[in-house]
Amino acid sequence: MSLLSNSRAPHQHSQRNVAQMMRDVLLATFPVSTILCWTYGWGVLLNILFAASCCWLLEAAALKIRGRRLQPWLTDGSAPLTGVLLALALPPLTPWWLIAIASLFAIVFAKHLYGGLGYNLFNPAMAGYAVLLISFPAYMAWWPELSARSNINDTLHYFLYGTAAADALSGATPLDAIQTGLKQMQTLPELLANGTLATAGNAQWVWVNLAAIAGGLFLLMRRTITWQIPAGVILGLALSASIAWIGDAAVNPSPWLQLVSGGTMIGVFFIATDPVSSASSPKGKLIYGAGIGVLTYVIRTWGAYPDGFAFAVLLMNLAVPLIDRYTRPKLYGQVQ
Amino acid sequence: MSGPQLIHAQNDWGLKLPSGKGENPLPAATEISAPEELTVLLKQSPGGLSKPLVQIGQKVFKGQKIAAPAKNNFGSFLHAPVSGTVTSIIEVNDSEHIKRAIILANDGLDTVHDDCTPISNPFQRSPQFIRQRIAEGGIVGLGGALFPTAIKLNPAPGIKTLLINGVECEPYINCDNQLLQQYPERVLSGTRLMLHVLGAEEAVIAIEQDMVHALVSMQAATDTLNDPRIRVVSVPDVYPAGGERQLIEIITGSQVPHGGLPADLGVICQNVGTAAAVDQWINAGEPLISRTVTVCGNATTASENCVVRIGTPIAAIISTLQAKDVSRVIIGGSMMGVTAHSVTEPISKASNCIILSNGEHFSPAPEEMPCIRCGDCVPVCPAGINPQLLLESMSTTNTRQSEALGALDCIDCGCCDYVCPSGIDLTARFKIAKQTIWEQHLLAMRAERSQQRFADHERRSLTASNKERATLDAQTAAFHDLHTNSKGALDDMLKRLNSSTPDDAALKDTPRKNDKADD
Repeated sequence: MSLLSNSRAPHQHSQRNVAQMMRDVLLATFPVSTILCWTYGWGVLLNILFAASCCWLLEAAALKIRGRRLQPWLTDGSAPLTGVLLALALPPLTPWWLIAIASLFAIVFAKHLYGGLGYNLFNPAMAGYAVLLISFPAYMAWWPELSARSNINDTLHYFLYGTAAADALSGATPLDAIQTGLKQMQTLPELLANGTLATAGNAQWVWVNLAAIAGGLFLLMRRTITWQIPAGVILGLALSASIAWIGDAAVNPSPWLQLVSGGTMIGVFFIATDPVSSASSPKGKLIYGAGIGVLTYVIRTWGAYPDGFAFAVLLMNLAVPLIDRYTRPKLYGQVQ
Repeated sequence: MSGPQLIHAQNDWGLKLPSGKGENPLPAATEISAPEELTVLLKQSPGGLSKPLVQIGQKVFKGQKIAAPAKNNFGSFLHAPVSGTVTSIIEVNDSEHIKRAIILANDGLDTVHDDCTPISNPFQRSPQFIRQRIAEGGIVGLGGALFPTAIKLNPAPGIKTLLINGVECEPYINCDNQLLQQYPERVLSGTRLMLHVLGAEEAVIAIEQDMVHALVSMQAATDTLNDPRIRVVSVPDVYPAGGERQLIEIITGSQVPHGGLPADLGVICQNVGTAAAVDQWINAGEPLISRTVTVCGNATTASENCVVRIGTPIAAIISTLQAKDVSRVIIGGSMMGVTAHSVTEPISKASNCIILSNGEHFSPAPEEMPCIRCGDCVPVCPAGINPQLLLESMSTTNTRQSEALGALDCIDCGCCDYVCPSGIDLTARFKIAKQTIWEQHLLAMRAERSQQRFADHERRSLTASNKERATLDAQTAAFHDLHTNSKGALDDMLKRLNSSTPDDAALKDTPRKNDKADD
């Protein structure tokens, strides 16, 4: 009787795999994508579809050039996920070449030049987005005014040629509005009173954040992500904001405003929780998250960019080896 | 009467694995009749090797010692599981399939050897005597490690607690569960003997929370015995709560110091099966020649516990139970079991479970992908390792980093492997890392030893030359002295000669005188 003797202990495994985790995250972005589409129009969907396919094609090209097998890498879902997360960070109206540049940087430079899935130091989506933030700040700051939600034709026109149709008006995100207002020596109560924040869609952004939280809760339930990173980011951001807000509520946005303005919760649950570029131990994840929260606050308050989430993530990516080193669990018997 | 105390663990490691151990009371164990030929392995555990005491062709009785522990080694006495003849002795480990073993032909008579007699009034005997007797019975740790029980029962003084491990946490294995349900009094009797040997204050019998029937029967037996030193506790059903150090952590709330032994905490841990084996040998006169084996898997109709003689080939069990389409055999549980190379492999003292699989039994690992650093492996590790960082450290040939990250602390439980979404065979890799580190340590030790030898040699030759030089110096000095002395003497003599010319003249003249006289 011949036996199969190629199997090694353990002979039993949990039924989790990388592709399933990526699919979970893709699925979890559905509510927030829907809300964004509903708020800002077809541009969001266009961005998502284009970025995801761009990333997927670039992944295939990079694998081909590196002489790697295409499977299982093309079906693990990690490349389209990078595209989707990138698209969620972009303004609803973004010309296609910017998305292509960001995808190229995310997949080829941030991911494959470091060795592909599992080896990248930086969060690929944020690396791609940061390139656009630095190189094309005007495009990245241009958000369409909510009242003038553009139709499919205008959206496509902008997507293809990068020029706005006559009736498209420039708007701002709540964070932009706050920063601009504060620079013009207005106080927060004034900004709230004169409707600047409302025009910037503060109420809609609350919905976007709630949708992101819903997706995040789904991921927590599925154990695709753990609670430590989201909790760390929220605590880090809320605590820094609270200290400033208690100090002077006239010029410092409340912690609540900080947490629900812009795509903060998208970052908390979908960006910061990227396993590859984050810390590994539970304690390390908490510290990593808190670092992102504090840095986001610092960049939002004193930086030149209205939203600092991307830079906060990239900076904390750099700190991961150090965090991992100092949050190593104690070996059995070494604790007393 | 109170129920067993539930110990709440302070830990958060481990896995919740479905076991179904408390569903139904287990039926009595099936006796597997001894086969015609038995293979008693001489090396039953990695740390133990025994030397044959018999020759080929020799007639042996059931329970007769056929091998003794090799020197400086944690082997045990091995006894003939049946009466019969030694047909061959394989002493060379020439392949993975043929191991060092004594092959016996069963004569079917089961004639018992004279040594196999119970000890009357064991509590009147000295602890040393009982301990020696336990060694002679070939009793070893039946939890899987096969460490000789007598050695473990001889620790430094200051042992307060004897911990009896009935935490059978690995899925599929049910032999301890069955023992606790069917023969709790054997476990208790063995526990009291070991308490006697150790002189410990108390014995704690720990059983997993979900082994409900075992808990009930053990508690009832303990209540009947009413020995104030012995109590039953239940522990959470977390895998691997039954690991020695993990259980000690749960029960005492503190960890065995790194590099230390449980005895450092005043604890000695013994398996329930070991306790029953001690009872069987001391009170019934039967050495460790058989054990209970859980036989399960989808190639057999039902999971059952079988009493099997040590040395019975797996094939004999398969044919007795009429298992069909066996394509894979795992010796041990689903988490730590080893895949058998062949069904001719025999049952050893360590074989607590045999899983007969038709090939599609388990949830296989997903196709291997690179580590995505999710960190799921970190909280589950009972040894406090960050498996992901350890894996990363193994990409270089420098083993120092792997060692610092706990490669040698890995207990092979497989928890990290189980949860890994990338399907990385972490446990197998860590085993290799451990081996590499040990080999390097061995090399380093050898290098150090030869360096020491060289240094010693140098010192010796240096000492020798010093001595030589000293001798030489002494000789030279003596020569110089002699020379000076002799020179002085010569000078003296010359001086004397010059000064005493008359003497000389006299001397010179003497012959003349004589001549003259002669003349």
